[in-house]
Amino acid sequence: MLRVSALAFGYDLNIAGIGDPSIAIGVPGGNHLLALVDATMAGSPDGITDSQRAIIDELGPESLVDAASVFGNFEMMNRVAEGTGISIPAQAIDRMKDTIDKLGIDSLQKS
Amino acid sequence: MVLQTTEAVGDPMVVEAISIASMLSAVDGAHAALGADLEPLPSPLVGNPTDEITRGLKRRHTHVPMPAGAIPIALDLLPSVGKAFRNSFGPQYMMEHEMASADFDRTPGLNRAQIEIVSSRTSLRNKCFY
Repeated sequence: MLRVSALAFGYDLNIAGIGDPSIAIGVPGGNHLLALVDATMAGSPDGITDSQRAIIDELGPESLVDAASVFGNFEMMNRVAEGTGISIPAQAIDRMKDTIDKLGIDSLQKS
Repeated sequence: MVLQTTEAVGDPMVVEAISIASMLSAVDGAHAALGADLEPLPSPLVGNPTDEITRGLKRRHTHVPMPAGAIPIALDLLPSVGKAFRNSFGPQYMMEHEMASADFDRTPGLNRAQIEIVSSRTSLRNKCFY
């Protein structure tokens, strides 16, 4: 889905940036958004503040609220998926094979 | 682990536990990313369980019984819980009509590609393949 939406906006997405935030991901403010996720999960107050400032400066304060909301939502969705054991259809996995390989997340299917 | 717990306490209690842990993590997660203090847990309400449980559901290679479909219906063993879950993720992520649009842009705010960067990295860090 990220690939399709990036294409729709004409971004030169480098999907590897999802796995390695040191790589320029090619979406405006994208690396600041990655940094906010990482800093929040690390419980790093300085990291959170730095990424918040960068997001506000580049994308605006509303974008920071959106980012925090989406982060919280996926903290929830991930737990629902793992807790209930819901699986992804095999066809969807086949369709995403290239992305799965690039991010090296094949092993997560079995976890 | 989840399956063992369902055997010990039953599917409805496990679905309720998953729902509480997951939905509270949405609240805590958003607060943490905003650098805000976490909300205190509310006091438990007095009363009996509703006993509203959807009958006839089965496991679909899943840990708990659920209808056929994708993640929005994963907690539907408990109808009121499933409804609360569905009502919560639209405003926090994208509404159904927004999901149909690859170039959805919340102006002011994030566009769909930016939203999916946050969701993808969060899922990867949580080691959630889904």
